[in-house]
Amino acid sequence: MKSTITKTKFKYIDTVGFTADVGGRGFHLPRDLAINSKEKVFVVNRSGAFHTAGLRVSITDVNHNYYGEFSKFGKNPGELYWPCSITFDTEDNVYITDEYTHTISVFEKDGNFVKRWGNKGNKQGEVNSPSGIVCDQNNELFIVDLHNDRVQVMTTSGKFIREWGKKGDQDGEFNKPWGIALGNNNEVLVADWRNDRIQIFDKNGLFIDKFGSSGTDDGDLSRPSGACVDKDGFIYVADWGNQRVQIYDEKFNFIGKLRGQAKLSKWAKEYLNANQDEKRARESFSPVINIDNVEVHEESARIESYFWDPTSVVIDKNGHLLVLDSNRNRIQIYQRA
Amino acid sequence: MATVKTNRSLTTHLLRRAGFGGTKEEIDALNSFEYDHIVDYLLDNRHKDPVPVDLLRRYQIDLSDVRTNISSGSYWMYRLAHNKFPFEEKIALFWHRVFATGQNKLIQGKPMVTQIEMFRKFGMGSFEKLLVELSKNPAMIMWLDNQDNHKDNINENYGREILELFSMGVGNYTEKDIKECSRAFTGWTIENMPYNAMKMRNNTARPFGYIAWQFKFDEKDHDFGEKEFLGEKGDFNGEDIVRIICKQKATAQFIARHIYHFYIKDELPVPQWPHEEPIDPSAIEFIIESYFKNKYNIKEVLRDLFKSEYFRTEEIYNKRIKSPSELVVNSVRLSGGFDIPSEEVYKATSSSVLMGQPLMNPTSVEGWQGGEEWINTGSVIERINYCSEILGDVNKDVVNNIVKQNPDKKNILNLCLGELGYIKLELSTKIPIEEYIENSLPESICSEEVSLIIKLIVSTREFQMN
Amino acid sequence: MKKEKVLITIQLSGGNDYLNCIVPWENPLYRDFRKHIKITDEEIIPLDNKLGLNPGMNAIKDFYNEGNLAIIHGVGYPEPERSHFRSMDIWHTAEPTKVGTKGWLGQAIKEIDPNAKNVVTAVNFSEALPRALVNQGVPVASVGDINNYGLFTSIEDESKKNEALNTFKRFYTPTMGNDYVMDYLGKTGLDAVKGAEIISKAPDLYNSNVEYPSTSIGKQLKGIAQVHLANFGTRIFYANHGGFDTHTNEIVLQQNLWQQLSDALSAFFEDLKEHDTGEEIIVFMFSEFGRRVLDNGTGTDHGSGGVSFLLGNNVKGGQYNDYPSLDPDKQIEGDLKFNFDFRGLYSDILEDWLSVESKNIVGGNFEKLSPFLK
Repeated sequence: MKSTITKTKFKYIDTVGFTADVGGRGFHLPRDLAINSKEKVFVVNRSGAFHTAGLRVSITDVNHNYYGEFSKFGKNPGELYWPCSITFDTEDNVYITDEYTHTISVFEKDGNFVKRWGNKGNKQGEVNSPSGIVCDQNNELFIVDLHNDRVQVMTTSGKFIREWGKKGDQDGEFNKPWGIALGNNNEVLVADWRNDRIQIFDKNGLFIDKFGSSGTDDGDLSRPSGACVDKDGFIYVADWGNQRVQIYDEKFNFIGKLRGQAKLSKWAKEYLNANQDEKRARESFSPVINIDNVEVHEESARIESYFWDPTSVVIDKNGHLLVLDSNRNRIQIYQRA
Repeated sequence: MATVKTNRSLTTHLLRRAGFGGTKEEIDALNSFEYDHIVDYLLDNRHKDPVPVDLLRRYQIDLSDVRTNISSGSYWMYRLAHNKFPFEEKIALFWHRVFATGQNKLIQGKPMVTQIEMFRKFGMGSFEKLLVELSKNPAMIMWLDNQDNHKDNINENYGREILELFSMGVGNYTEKDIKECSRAFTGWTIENMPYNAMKMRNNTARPFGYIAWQFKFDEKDHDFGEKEFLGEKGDFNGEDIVRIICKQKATAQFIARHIYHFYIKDELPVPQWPHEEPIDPSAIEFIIESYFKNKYNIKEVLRDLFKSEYFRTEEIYNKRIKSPSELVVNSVRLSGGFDIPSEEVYKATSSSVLMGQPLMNPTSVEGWQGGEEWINTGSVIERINYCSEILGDVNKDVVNNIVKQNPDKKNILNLCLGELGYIKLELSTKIPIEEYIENSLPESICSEEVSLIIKLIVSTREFQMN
Repeated sequence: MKKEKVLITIQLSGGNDYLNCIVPWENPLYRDFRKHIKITDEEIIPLDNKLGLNPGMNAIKDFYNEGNLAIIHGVGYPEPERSHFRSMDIWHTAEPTKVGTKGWLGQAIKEIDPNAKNVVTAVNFSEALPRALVNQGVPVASVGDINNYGLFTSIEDESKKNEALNTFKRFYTPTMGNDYVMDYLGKTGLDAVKGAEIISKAPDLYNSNVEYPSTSIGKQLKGIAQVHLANFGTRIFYANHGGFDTHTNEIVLQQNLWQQLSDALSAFFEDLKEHDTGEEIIVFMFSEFGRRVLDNGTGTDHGSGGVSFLLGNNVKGGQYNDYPSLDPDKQIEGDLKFNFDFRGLYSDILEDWLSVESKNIVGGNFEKLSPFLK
């Protein structure tokens, strides 16, 4: 069911980020972000598969403070190989999924490694490429089990609690799901990636509703990777394949979309100050050009201010929307007007 | 079982040359058709959704934002190994060799990925259209400095190379033609040239990654004056130049030699072409005729060629050294492909680099010569180790398929040769392997023994050939 | 037996920051330009009253004190390229104006061993085959893991591997005359096995009390020591150390990298000493460019003029050329201005060490350092 309510406006606030592919202040091909109770933003940098020096978790905030980083590329405990998603428990301990090693790594709130758990398999309590992860107020972890096409609920120490879902396109079934989020009334939202939809369940896995279908029109989805819900129940979806963020009201009516309008971040400006030739060349730079190619991924590659593979969305305490703009190594921040 | 209508060695030859070799299953299936039908099937069966690009982008995000050559090379490697229409990838590889453009200068991988995609799209149609697209291709523009080719100050680099390396070859035009040709391409540049050129020069992905390039015709910087090119006069733009180029016999001859070189038999190195006759002049004449008859349509030229005696003659079977990419892709395809876009893809790409062929990064503007150039003591080790590792892997298709057929010491060699795409060994190769089987293998053959035989076969000289 | 001279090249990939490597600590401009990422006076290893070394370079300082390290200031080439790949290519091919195809060392190997009689004249330990070593008809053994190098490395059982190798040798024996390509392939395959057999003996012949660090550069230098000490006649070795591309996090990264290199080189020379040798070796270290004078907040970006090093018992230690000026008017586009063409340095190495005519390789005559040898 589509609606024509599109009055809601969104305002661009700021951009945080910088390409830092060997570590240090900035990000490299970040995959997910989450905000802890102290309003610190943790960004999981997956980095390149061949160039891996940028893999780590960056700790930053919306005011361009960079607090440091932890973990690095590798298959050993404490290291990450294909990190996908991050969440915090009620004590701000950190949980990160790894799609390659089929594990969940646990770190203390400042990044000290505690342990990791998880085994590859399709039995209860086993995982095959854990993708999205989210922790609720009861410290239950909701884990998207990518290649098993299901959601598993586990304790923070990896003990199986319950599961739901199997491969398919019916209600309650999944096709390579990715991100997961919690709503305001104990709902669980799953980005059912290859089915081009968001499915909503209660915490026991009972199917409640769904929205989105394949396409590029307003409200349609293409390979959604993540979602989040603000205090008024508005739902924000990282519409990864369409290179945009879409916003729906609590009845799943489409109410707006964002294509990205990043400007230079504070860190980017400092970089250009140290590189006057680039700064000068940038003066004649026209940020938006007429694209002679309809493919939206390609459009993102050519227009720097647009989202390019937005993988994750979160709302902070001030109601600001943070969009992780993965191929551009930055976070774009918006506010509902 | 269907009746065999085409000789199996011909089918395997066609699959190797038009694509990357067939699996036993593919060869057995195709043999039941008439040869001409097999040719048509391979050339026309364009698959709607050949490669799961969404999965690629999800698993390996650096395959979207391809900054290193290994990333962009891997993107192509995945497609080479998985495209259900291999003819398309093979022809892209062909044009990549002729229009050699390299990431070492461009720095970003994205323009190269876009160029190869353009080869897939236009590479089997009209050569005229392809040359126009090539001239508008941002990677090519930046590779040969056409962004510096201005109305009041021409840069001849592209104007020269389009004639020398991409169409007619030295000796068929004058220095004046080069100048006039360059004038016609003035103003063919890319969007936001100063900034993008600076980022290329400084080779930095900061602050927010690279910005992909787009062609721009800058009217203000184009020389609209009259030009005289190859005897014709007019206010020529680049498109007109290409139109004139394509009707030259020299162009037909040049492209014919390249096609022969790639699909039939190693020719002399390109720089010697102006001075040396083709090794088979009648084959070249045949291709030239087909080029004009088919209005420069490359696919139709290849169709004529594949159906001709020049291609079908047994004399040329297995006589070319496989290029590293052919060898790697053939092995990956035989082994059942990549599981998911993972480190296996990077391994394949890096191996091809170590064997001497970094995809999208040819060593010179003249591309890879091929033939013996591929073989030295370092590359031989890499070639054999890569193939034996992937094809001898006891967890992969080849070994498993053989084990299923209950191999014994008598049939194991033939089973292995068949599973590897009906490889034919010379007697001097076959005898040592048979003796090895007789003397060194136990009576009961398990996957480990199969793996050993596979490793020996892929190390043979015959397996190194196409 | 007179020992043949050997060159080890260590490529410092990514662009080693000159200013924080050889630090002009007494120059106030250094502090002005490096507000965020300066090496403090407490950390610096003083070299003289003007310059100091990065704190990670302790062993390098020892070499300097012993008079075996030459620091070559201000190395670069005209119209600098700030792209890693392009600039590295220029260093590899000694060809700054067009895309070159032949490596400078590849050409040197051809001069040293024109008929490729010794298949291990050049041995590469870096991950990829650097273009510096590439030249048509020049065999280069690229060794990833010296303990598992050669054909059929995926066959674990030694006796099975040997049986396979023996079979391989039989079917690679050229059947003379009937097919040129097959013959060529056959000969090359046999040469490759020969080379691999030679190299794989090196670890068995090697005996040492020196413990190398388990870093990549440590392993590469240990491999070089093993092959060198086995006396196979290898003249050119190549190693790679990186990545120096410190746009961010420079202080930590660069110091770590130099510490690793310092430790590895120190083990290497100790190893040579233990084996009563080393006079026949020099180590040449270069990076494709230096970095911007002004920092960007947490790192530095691609620049031009840089520093190179020559190290060895026969090297006349000290500093060569002047440190480029930090004066903003003397910089070029925010970079240190080079004052010495790297092709001159190549000529030094080629002619005075390897006894190879340099003019054709570097494309002309360039000012040399010489004499850089004791």
